[in-house]
Amino acid sequence: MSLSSAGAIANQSLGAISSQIGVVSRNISGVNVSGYAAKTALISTGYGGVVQIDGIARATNSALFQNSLQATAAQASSAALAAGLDQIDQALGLSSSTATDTTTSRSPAALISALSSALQSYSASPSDTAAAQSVLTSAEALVQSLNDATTAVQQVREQADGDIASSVANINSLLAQFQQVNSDIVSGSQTGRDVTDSLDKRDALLAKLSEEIGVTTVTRSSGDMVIYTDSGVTLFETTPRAVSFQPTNTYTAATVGNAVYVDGVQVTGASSPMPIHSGKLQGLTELRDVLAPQYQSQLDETARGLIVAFSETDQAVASGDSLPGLFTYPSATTTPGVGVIAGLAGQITVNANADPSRGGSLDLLRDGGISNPSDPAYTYNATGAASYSTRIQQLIAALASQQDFDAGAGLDAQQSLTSYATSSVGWLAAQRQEATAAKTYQSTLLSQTSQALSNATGVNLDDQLSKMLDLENSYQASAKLLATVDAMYTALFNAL
Amino acid sequence: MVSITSTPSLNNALRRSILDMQTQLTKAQTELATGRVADLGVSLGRGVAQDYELGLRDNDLESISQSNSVISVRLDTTQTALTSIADTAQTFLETLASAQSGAGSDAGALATSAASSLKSLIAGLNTSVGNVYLFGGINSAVAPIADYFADPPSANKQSVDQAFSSEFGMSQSDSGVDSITASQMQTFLSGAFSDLFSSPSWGSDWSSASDQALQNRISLNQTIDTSVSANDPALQKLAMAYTMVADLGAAELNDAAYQEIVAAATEAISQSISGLISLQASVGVMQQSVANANQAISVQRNVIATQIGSLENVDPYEASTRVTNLLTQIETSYTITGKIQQLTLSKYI
Repeated sequence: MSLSSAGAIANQSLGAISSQIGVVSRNISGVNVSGYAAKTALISTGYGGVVQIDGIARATNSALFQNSLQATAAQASSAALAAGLDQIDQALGLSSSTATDTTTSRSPAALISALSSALQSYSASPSDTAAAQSVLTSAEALVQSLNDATTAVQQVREQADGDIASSVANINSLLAQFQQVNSDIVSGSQTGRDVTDSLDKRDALLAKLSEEIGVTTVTRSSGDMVIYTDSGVTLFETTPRAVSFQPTNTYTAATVGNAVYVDGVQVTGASSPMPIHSGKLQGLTELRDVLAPQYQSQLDETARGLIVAFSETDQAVASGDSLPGLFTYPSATTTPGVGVIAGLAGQITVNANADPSRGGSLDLLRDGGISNPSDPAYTYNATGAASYSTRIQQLIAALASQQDFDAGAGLDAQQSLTSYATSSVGWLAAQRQEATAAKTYQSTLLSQTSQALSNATGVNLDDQLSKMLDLENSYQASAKLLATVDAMYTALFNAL
Repeated sequence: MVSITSTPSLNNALRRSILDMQTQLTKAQTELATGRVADLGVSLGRGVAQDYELGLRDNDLESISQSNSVISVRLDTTQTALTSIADTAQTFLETLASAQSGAGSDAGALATSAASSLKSLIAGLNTSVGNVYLFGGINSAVAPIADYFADPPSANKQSVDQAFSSEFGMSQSDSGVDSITASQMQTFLSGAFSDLFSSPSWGSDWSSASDQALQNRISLNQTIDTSVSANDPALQKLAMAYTMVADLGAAELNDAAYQEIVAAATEAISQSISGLISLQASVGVMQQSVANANQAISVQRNVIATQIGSLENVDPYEASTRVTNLLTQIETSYTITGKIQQLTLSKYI
């Protein structure tokens, strides 16, 4: 060891310390950047005692990272589902009202009850035109709520469809960006370049991707990463696979939305061989294809039950033909039998024959014959008496008597119309409760996982500052060493 | 490797907990202010169906009790009308009794009294409440009994006149009526005259009331008749008794025929009074049924209100304690957040 080698080592160490300070300053600048992993310079002692930088290491924890991807996807799925259900709930005013205050509730159940009350008042005064008018008004309000509920449900489906389309577009653009970053990492690893920034970027892209669709990843030895959906379909392998979706612009009750295809494989929908389990796409498709149509069927069955309850039978013949009475739908020829008619809730109307503003007569509410005013066989009040209340009492009883419903709508097949409507409200509330609970749980899980990941890989400001203090001292020491060596040489030269 | 907390995770943890508590605070405040759960669907889930069923049943009971008050008014008015008809009948019966004993009876005065009693009977039977003629049955839009004293003469008056003239060949005001014998009068009274006061003549001349009574639902499972008809035999007999005394020329008849009329009228009114008593009793039963139903309804509504309360209500003390605790927690979080922000090494370098 000579003085000159000491000077050379001190010189080298200055350079190493400068690089380390550079790493510290990168860390400090990246403190609040989400997904930033703390970097450390890898230092080793080389031949001849020289300190050298071998590269930059990045704090990773792959188990925690996979967990956070899964948690992100699960949370996105429940959030999408809960948001859709909340929208339907608000449109009907279900949760902001109470059971006894039906003035703010626009649910069919509350308005059927209001109709029943109006009929009860009418039955006490069948000759009172004002009471008849209030029955007509209640009937119109009920029909309006069924129509509005149908519009709200189909709008939710339409929105979900639009959100799926933009999610698919987002996935495709993320995969394209992923390709660039991934090839950069592969080429950089081969040449030994510092690729830690690209690794950060790649992890950030994965986090965004897992919001849209649940993913699992496999890292190959060259640093290359392969992405699969959580059901096993390839999303990215050297090149991105095509994620395709055909949007539908308008939704009616009978519309069936299209599925999402990844690499030619259907990943959403009941007929999918490898359906995804999480991610916004999964939540949106479940909302659009399962829950919203199920609720629509219940609305349609409620509408059909209403038509059946108010239908009129031929009085002249025993077990005669049945025709729609106060409630009907366009091109109705007979009272519909058991079976969901898609979109009936959007088409149901108050029969014009009972509405004075459309050329009908209010007295038909009391007398019957709404289905066919010119056919006396359908008139219940044979004498035309002013206080005939039998037909009105029949209508009140019909709302509470057992009917057959289609079990495919998800509720009991044999119950009264009023309890069918309340069961439907209960079904929607149960779905919403489940979805909200899942969303809360997944959010908590996500935040805990993110916190753990951040603790394992994030930057602690005080830690970096104290490192900087150490490096400052080392730098001063090395600089002092150089100055001392220089002074020693000067002393030697002065002596010669 | 020592496990550390990264700076962003420390900051985020505090931030997230403050946001969480603020959300809970909003919810707790709503519950405290309204006394009910903030979000019905999320709190009850499937139980919302039961909650709504209770609420709908309560609405039903409320509307029934409202219609019951309308029915009570009608029944009370009916009962009042029947009472006054019965009282008039009783008074007239006493007048007839004194006429029968022959003690200073004035046929003309009796006929006038009969006429005014008939007028009050017709007015009583034509009582209406709110455009509903109480004694008309379901045909409540028209006054049930035709006005006997209308000008031009109505069908009932004309039929009586016609029956009289076809029986005796003269009108009631003819001077020859005193030649009518007692047996002729008796034949007339029990024959053609009494036919006028039973169906089908009653229905075509006197009454446009329907035999079908008003029917109303007075509780969830009970539907009863809520009116009596003007076609009741007691009322027919009463009308017959008044008419025979008022309008068969009683003032000019000979004494035997006159006594025949008085006897027949007395018989008819006695039968009518016992019929009226049972009519009043049946109206009384209707009134009692409605009163009982109303009582049962108010009990049921109280029970339902309690059940709904157990599902929807929030204990106000618990809610206010929650609000206070949350406020304290939020304040503590703010203080800690502020202090932690100050704890950075850069201040000490």
